[in-house]
Amino acid sequence: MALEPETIAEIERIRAALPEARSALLPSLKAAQSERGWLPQETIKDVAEMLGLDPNPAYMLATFYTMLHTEPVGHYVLEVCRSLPCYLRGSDQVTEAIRGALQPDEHGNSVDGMFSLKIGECLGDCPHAPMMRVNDDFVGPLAAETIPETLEILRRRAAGGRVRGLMADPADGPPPNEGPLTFSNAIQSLPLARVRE
Amino acid sequence: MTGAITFEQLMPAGPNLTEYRHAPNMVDLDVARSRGAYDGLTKALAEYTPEQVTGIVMDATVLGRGGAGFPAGRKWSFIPKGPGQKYLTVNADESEPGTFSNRELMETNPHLLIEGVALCCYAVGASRAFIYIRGEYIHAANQLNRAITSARAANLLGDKILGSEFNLEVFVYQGAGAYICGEETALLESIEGNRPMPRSRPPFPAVAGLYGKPTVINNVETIANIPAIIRNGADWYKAFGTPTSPGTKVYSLSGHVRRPGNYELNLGISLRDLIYEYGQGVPGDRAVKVVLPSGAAAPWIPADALDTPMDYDNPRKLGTILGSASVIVMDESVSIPHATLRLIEFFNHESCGKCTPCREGTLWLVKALKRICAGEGVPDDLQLLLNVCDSIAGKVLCALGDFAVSPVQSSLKYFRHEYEAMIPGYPTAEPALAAD
Ligand SMILES: Cc1cc2nc3c(=O)[nH]c(=O)nc-3n(C[C@H](O)[C@H](O)[C@H](O)COP(=O)(O)O)c2cc1C
Ligand code: SF4
Ligand code: FES
Repeated sequence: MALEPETIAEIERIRAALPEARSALLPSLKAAQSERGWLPQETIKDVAEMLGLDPNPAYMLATFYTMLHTEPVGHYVLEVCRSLPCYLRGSDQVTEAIRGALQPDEHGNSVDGMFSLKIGECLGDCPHAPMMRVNDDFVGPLAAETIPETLEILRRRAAGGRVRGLMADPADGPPPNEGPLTFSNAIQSLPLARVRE
Repeated sequence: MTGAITFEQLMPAGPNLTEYRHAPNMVDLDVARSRGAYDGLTKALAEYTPEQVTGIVMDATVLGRGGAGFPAGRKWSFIPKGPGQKYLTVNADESEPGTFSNRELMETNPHLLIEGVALCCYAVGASRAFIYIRGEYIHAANQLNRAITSARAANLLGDKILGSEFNLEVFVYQGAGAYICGEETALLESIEGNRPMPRSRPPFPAVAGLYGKPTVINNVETIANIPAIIRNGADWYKAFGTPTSPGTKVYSLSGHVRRPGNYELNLGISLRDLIYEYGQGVPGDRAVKVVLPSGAAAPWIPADALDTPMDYDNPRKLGTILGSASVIVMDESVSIPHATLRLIEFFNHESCGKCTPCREGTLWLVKALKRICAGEGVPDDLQLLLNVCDSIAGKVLCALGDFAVSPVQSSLKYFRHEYEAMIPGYPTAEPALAAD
């Protein structure tokens, strides 16, 4: 399970861009995570050693941050925001609908390995409440009634296999909307939207 | 019920920060420059010494937009003069519930922030700047990186900027999901590759910050204010807002309003105007119950105080602060104990765990509130909640602990009856003798 050549190249690029090696640890862990969506212990050790750092503090980092996963996750990590502005607009009902549709295990993973359901805290997209993060993208506003359809669209979009863990190419901005799956990555169009009464 | 209001009608004259929010492709350097980007930097390098730039910012009285309202010019003046590596770190962690203004600024006009960064670094003599952006803001980080690449190619960043002796490298540093990284010393720890736990002070970052070097830490919006001030002067800036809180502020409005969003307005706008004129009121025309002026973190403002001007001074009279100006509106349909539980769950989830009172105290608060919300509370629970708050506030290393107690204290101050009604056997308000 050695690091892939692309990951090694990316870590070298990160290291060269930053003034100190220790600062390269967090961005390098993120780069390594994009290989399989999560960070096996061995990967964390490989990254730390590549940077000439002690692996033990690197494990501590990986367990601290919510965007780093030290357990296997599905193709999509669904981080449903539960913070107050989303709560006031029905985020608990959305979470329940997702739970009902996926029947996740105690780690939040669906049986088909497609989804991992996580608790999210405010993602800075409250005008689209209730919303969730789907890998790199923001999706909202969500409605409990359309959750099965939204998940079905995501399943279909994943048919092409994992794209280094990303649904959208980050260079292109948000992917096209489809039915109830509406992306809110770029906040620009927001201020003129009106919420449902 | 309200006629069509165009976006332009909603804005005050001459917004400084969001003027081009709908202009296409502001990430393109030519487009941005045609709208004045880097004119402030060009002017400063040609006409002002670094000390003069700091002097103008001090005169303009730019109060820190990250929450504490500390004057930016004064903060810059604490950085020691003379040679030696110095840093600017821009705080773009923006994780306070209900806060999304920095995100819009970075996504729609990244060059504005980059120009502000260059001006601040010129003023304090820093040749390296980090923009620490929360990991979830991927689109905003991409926009910043594109802006930096093109600015560098045009010699607006890099070595000998515009033929001067000023050099600057800007790094976009992406976090990975942790509210505590917004606390300025935890942010420094995060960049240094450590677990992001706040440092004890002194030493302050102006003396020993990033990598132990003098460091300025400012919020995105604080820095984004600088270019227009350098272009137009301090007096121009002071014509906005109020005499003691000059300038505009991007208010993030969320919760029970018809039109949530960012509104750049003169500092001092009342909550009533913000909610009813800009937010177009509450869905279903329900009544406002209470307003949270600064996300989850600050004491609440009751519905009878909606005329309070939202500047840096007036909220203090109500025992609260403007903070990040992320205004969350709750209408009459909300169960206050349930909403309070949700707020405390946030702080418990985000406590870094370094101080026992914060780590354990927020957990106790969650447990007691859950019990009450489940109808299983006991009469002593309300006093217990207040006691736990007392054991946290002022007894911990960073302000997160103080933030965490405010929803409990505010909700008990204004809505104690809602808790009482949920607790079986809570003594009623009537004196026992009245039963005779
Ligand atoms: C728990 C916690 C979270 C914070 N989060 C942020 C944040 O996301 N953005 C921010 O600018 N300031 C945040 N602050 C305030 C910073 O510590 C610091 O005061 C601010 O960045 C200084 O910039 P300013 O003077 O320009 O406001 C936070 C503080 C605490 C205690
Ligand atoms: S108050 Fe809480 S968040 Fe702040 S340092 Fe202590 S434990 Fe960490
Ligand atoms: S509360 Fe959900 S995005 Fe802000």
